[in-house]
Amino acid sequence: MKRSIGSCAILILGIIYLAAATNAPAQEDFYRGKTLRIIVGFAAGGGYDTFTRTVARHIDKYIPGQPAVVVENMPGAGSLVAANYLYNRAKPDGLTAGVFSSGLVTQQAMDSRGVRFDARRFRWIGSMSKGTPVCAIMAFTGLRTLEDVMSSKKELKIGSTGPGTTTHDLTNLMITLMDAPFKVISGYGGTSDVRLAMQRREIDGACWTWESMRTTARAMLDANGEDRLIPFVIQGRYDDPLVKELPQFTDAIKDKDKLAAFKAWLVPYEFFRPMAFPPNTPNERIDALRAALRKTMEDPAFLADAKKSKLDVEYTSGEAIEKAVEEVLDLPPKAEQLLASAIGR
Amino acid sequence: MPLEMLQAFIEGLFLVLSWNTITLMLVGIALGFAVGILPGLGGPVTLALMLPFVFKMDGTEAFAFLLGMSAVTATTGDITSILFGVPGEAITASTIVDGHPMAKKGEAGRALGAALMSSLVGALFGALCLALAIPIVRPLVLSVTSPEFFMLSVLGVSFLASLSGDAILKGLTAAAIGFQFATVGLDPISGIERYTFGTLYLWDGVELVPATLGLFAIPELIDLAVKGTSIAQTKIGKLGGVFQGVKDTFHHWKLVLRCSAIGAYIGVIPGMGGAVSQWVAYGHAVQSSRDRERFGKGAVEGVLGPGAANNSTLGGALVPTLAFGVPGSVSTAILLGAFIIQGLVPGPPMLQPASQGGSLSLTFSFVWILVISNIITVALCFLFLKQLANITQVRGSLVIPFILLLIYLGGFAENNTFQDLFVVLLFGALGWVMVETDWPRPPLLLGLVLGPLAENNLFLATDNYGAAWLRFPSVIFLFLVILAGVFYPVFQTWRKRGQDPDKKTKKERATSIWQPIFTLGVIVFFCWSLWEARDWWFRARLFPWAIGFTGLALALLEFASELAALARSRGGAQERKPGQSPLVRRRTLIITGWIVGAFAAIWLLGFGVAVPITILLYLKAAEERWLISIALAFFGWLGFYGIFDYLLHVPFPQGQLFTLLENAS
Repeated sequence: MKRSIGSCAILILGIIYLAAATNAPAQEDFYRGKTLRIIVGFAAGGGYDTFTRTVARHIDKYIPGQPAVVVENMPGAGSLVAANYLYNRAKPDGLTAGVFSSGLVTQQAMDSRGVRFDARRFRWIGSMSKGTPVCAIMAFTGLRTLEDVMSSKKELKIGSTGPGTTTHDLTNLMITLMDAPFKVISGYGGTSDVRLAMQRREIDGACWTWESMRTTARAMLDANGEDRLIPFVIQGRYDDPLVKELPQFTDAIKDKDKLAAFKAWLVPYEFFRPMAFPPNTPNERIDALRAALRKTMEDPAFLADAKKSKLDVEYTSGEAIEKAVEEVLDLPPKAEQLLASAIGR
Repeated sequence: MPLEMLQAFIEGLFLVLSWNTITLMLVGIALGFAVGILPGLGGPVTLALMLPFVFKMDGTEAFAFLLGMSAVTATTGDITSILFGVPGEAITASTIVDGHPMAKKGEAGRALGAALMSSLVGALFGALCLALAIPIVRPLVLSVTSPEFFMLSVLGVSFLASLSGDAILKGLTAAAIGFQFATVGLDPISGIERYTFGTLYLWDGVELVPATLGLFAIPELIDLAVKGTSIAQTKIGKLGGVFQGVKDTFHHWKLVLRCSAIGAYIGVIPGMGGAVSQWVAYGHAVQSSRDRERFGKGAVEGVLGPGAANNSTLGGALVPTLAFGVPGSVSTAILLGAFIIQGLVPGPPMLQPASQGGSLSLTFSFVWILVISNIITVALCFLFLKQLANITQVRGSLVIPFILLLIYLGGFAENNTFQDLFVVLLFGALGWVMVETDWPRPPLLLGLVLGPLAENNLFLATDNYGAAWLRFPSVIFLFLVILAGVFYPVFQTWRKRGQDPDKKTKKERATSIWQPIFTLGVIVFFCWSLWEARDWWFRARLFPWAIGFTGLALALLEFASELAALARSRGGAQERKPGQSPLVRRRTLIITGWIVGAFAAIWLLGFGVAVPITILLYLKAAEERWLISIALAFFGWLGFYGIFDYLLHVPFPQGQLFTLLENAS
C-alpha cells in the first residue's frame, strides 16, 4: 500500500512536470512557434465572432514569425468581462489580444458600473469596421421623413433589445436630445425579433446600424406599400440611394451641449470592433501587430472572405483610436450629464 | 405553381445526392454524433466553430454539412441522457427523467430503441412540417405577437403540474424557484442588477447548461456511487429489448405524432427551442397517460415524447429562419450566418422557384438533408446499440470518474467560463437535496428556461397594447387550451376514482425531518429574494415580487402540510429512508469528496493535469489494478486533449497553482 502511494505520487509529479514543460518558450523570432490568442467578448456565431475569426484566418502571415492564431470566446456583460480580463489579468506579452465593444469607452466616460479599466492605457491595434447609426420607420404609419416623425401627434413605438445596445441608446438619445415623440419598447430578443415585430405592426420603427439593417432587413427596405421600412435619419456617408439624401443627426441637434453629448456617443462608432492588447505590451510588438492588422485589412483574400460574409470592412488605425478615446473621455461635464441621463446605467 | 413546387422538391433531392454532398454530410454527422454524446458541448457551439469551413463549399454542401451535424445532436444527446443520467445536450435533459430509470432497471436497450425510433419519427415529422409550411409560412410566423408569446410561455408553465408527479404543491414551488433564478442578472428593461452580488459573471444570469448538468447529473452520480453497482442495477443476460423500444414507438404512435407536432410548433416560434419543447412534450406525455404514477420511474412514454419533440424542433425552427431570416433557435441563428456566407438572402426568394429567381430547390434540399441524415444516424446507432447499452453493465467505479469529469468539461465548454463550474456545484447540491426530499426537478428547470420569455413578453405585451391584449381572440383561445390542459387530468382522476372507490388515491408519503428543514430553506430563500428586491425600480421588481410572494405562499403551505404529516407519523412506526444507513452516509460523503476534490483539482492544476490525475486516483482508490488505472487515465487524457483541446480549441484556463508559481519566480 505504501509503495503504491509512493509510485502514485511520482506519476503525478511526472504529469505535472510534462504539463509545465510543454509551456517552455522557444526563443528566436518572438512569435515563431507561439500562439496568439484573440479573445472575443461575445459568444460564438455572432457578428463580433465572425469578424474576428475572419481576420484571424489571414493575419498570421503578416506577423513576423507566423504564430498560430486562435480565437477564443469570453462572452459576458456585453463584452465587459473580456475587456476587464484583458486589462487586469492578461499578460502584456503580445500574445493575448481582445476584441470588445467600443461602446465600453463611453461607459467609462459615464463612470458606469463594472468598468475596471482605463481605456487610455489599452494598446489599441486598430479596428475592423465602422457603425453608421440610422433610424427607420414603417410605411404603415404614414410617416416618411424626419420632419414627419418629429411632428407626429401619435407617440411612436420604437423597438429595443435592451440597455447598452444601439437600439436602446440611440432611441433614448433621440428622446433626450431631440425631443422625439418616441416610446421605447424594450425587451426584444435581438434585432431579428425587432424586425419581426415591425412586420407584424406591433411597433412603428427601430434604430440600429445601417451596416446591419441593409443586409438583414433588405427585404423590408425593398418591399412595396405599407410593409416598407423607411430610413429617415442617419449619421454618416453611404452611397446607397435609400440613405444618401437623408438628414444627419448632427444637423438636427441645435443645442451646443446636446450636440457635444451626441458626438461623444458617436465616437465609438468610428472604431467598431477594435482590437486591443493589455497596457504595457512592449512597443516593438505593438508596432508589428498594428502593421499586420493594416496589411490584413488590405489583403484581397481577406476582403473576399469578408465580402462573402457580408462584413463591412473599414479600417481605423490604432493611433486614430487613441485620439478618439481621448475625445470621449474629455467630455465636458454638462454633456456628460446629458449622456448619462439618457443612457447611463 | 404546385407543379413547379413538386419539381423543386425533386430537384432538392438530386442536389443532396451527389458524392461531395453526401461525403460532407457524413463528416457533419460524425461530428454531430460525438458532440451530441459529449455533455455540455452543444450543437450551437460546434456549429459556430465549423462555420469557417463552409467558405469553400457550395450551398447544398454547406447545409448538408451543418444541418447534418445539428440534426444528429438531439438524437445522440438522448443516448447520454438515458445511459448516464447526464444530459448530452441541453435539449435532451427531459429524456433523463424516465430514460435513466429504465437504464437502471436494466432496460437500457428498450429505452435507447424507443428514443432512437421516436427521434427518427420526430425528425421526419419536422422535415415534413418544413416542407408543408413553406407555402404558408408568413402568416404562420407573423400571427405570433408578444401577447401570444406570453400566453405560450404560460402554457408551458401550465404543464408544470404534470411534471411534478403527485407532489403538485412542491412542483409549483420548484417552478417558482426556477423563475426566481431566471431573474438573476441585468434586468432587460432598465439594466439594473438583480441578485448579482456585485459580480460581473451574474450579469448574464444563471446559465442553462451548467444548471442542467448540476441539477440532473450530480445526483445521478452520487446515486451510482452510493449503490456501488453498475448503472444497470439489475443484471440481465441479453440486451434489454431494443426491438421492444421500436415497437413501443409504434404502439404509442399517436403520442409520438402529437409530441412531434408540439416540437415542430414550438420550433416555429422564434426564441423558443428544444429546451422548452422537450418539457412540454414530456408534460403532455404524462397528462395524456392513464397511469400517471409510472412516470419518473421508467415509463417508456416519458422517453418517446421528448425524443420525438426535440428532433422535430429543428425542422420547425428552420421555417422562420428561411422565411424571415429570424432564427427560431440558437442553432438556426448560427445557420443564418451560413446563409449569408453563401450569399443567400433569407426571405421570400428562398420560397420561390428558380424560374422566378428564387432558390426553392435549395430550400427543399434542407428537407431532404434532415430526412437522410436522421435515417443514417439512427441506422448507425442501431448498429452500435449493443455496445452502447453494455456500458450500463460496466462496474460503476470504472465509469464514475469519466462521468464526473465530463460533467465539469461540459459545464465549462459551453461558455469557456470557469464560474460556470460553481453553478454546476451549486445546482448539483440543490438537485441532490431535492432528490433526497422528494422534490421534482423538471419544473425548476422549465421555470429557468421560461422565466425571461414570460417576463419580457409580459412587458412587451403591456407596453404595446395596454390591457387590450387580454381580449385578443388568440389569447383567449390559448387560455382555454391551458384550462383544458390543467383540468382534463383532474377530471380523469375524478372519473377513475368514481370507477373504483376502494382504491386508495393518496399514498401516505414517507416523511422525514429533513423535508420540512429543506422547505424552511426554500421559505428563507423567497423571503430573502423579496427583501433584496425591495428598493428596485417598480418594473424591475414586479416580476421577482410576483414570483416571490407566490413562491412564499406555496412554500408555507407545503411546510405546514409536512409538519402535519410529521406529527401524524410520530405515533406510528417512523419510516426510515434508505438514506439513513451508515454505509450510505459514508459512501455519500466519499463521492461528495470526490466531486469537490475534482473541482479543486481543476481549479488548482487546470483541466489538462486534473483529468488524468483524477481518473488515476479514483481508480486506485477503488482498488482497480495499476494497468487498468494507468491505461484508462491515459485514454481519458487523450480523449480530452484530442477532442476539446486539439480539435475544438476550447481555451482551458491555466491552473491557479501554475499561475502562483509563475508569479513567484
